[in-house]
Amino acid sequence: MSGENLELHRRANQAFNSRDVEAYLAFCDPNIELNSAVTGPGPAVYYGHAGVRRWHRDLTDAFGDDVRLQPEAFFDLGEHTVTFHVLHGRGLQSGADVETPAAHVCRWRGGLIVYFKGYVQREDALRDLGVSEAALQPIAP
Amino acid sequence: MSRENLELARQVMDALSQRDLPRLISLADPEVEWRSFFAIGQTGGVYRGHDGTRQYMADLRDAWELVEAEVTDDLVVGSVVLLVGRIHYRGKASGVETDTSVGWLLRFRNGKAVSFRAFRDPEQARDAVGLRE
Repeated sequence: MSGENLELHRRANQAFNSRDVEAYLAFCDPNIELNSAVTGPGPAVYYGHAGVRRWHRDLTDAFGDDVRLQPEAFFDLGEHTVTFHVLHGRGLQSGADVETPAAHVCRWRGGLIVYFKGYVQREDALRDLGVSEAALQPIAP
Repeated sequence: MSRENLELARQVMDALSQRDLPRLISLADPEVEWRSFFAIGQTGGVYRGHDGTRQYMADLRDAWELVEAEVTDDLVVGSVVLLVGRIHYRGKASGVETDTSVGWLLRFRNGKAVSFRAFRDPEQARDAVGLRE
């Protein structure tokens, strides 16, 4: 099951990068709880599929249509999967390219994400899961 | 008046944490606008009026087992109350408990809340009232 979740996480990231929100929703539980770290002054926590659609809109508003994740490493903790990645986008107000190291934690149930949390400090993601990077085997993207 | 508004703001926060709908409605103006920390329901976390207040409580109840606000600092400027603290919540589906810092901005008129807005970053709340240090 844990390997399956990691593969699902890869595919969810691909759906994210395609900016196809409906494809991304295929990986989301209807009651998903999505804790975003980098969107603007809107809500901090998005709930359900309607919330995920709103999150995608808010991300596009903040970082442009070309916002994407460049994975650097995955970690497989069974029920949870973690990705370290770089978020690429363009500040709509500044027009400047944005490259932000970040992490996502997903909790899976029945092949769907029930909990998602984004982090701008990667070590915080592992700390919340009670593990250290040294104790984990990073998996290439 | 400022001291009264601070007390009202604390009552609003307590009513939200307790999910005490009658008390929340009694504290709110009929034209109140809530902008929640949570994008939930069909409104994306924005609710207006007493009917909106009822929907806000219903949406919170449907999505979260627990939502508790802890206020650690406050500032009152006339009708505006800025609160800073932490919010602790647990999703019904995920079962995951999360704790994060948050800022709230509340505005009062004639002893009733007319607007409430939560910010993911307390600095955003300070910015909203021009108080960035």
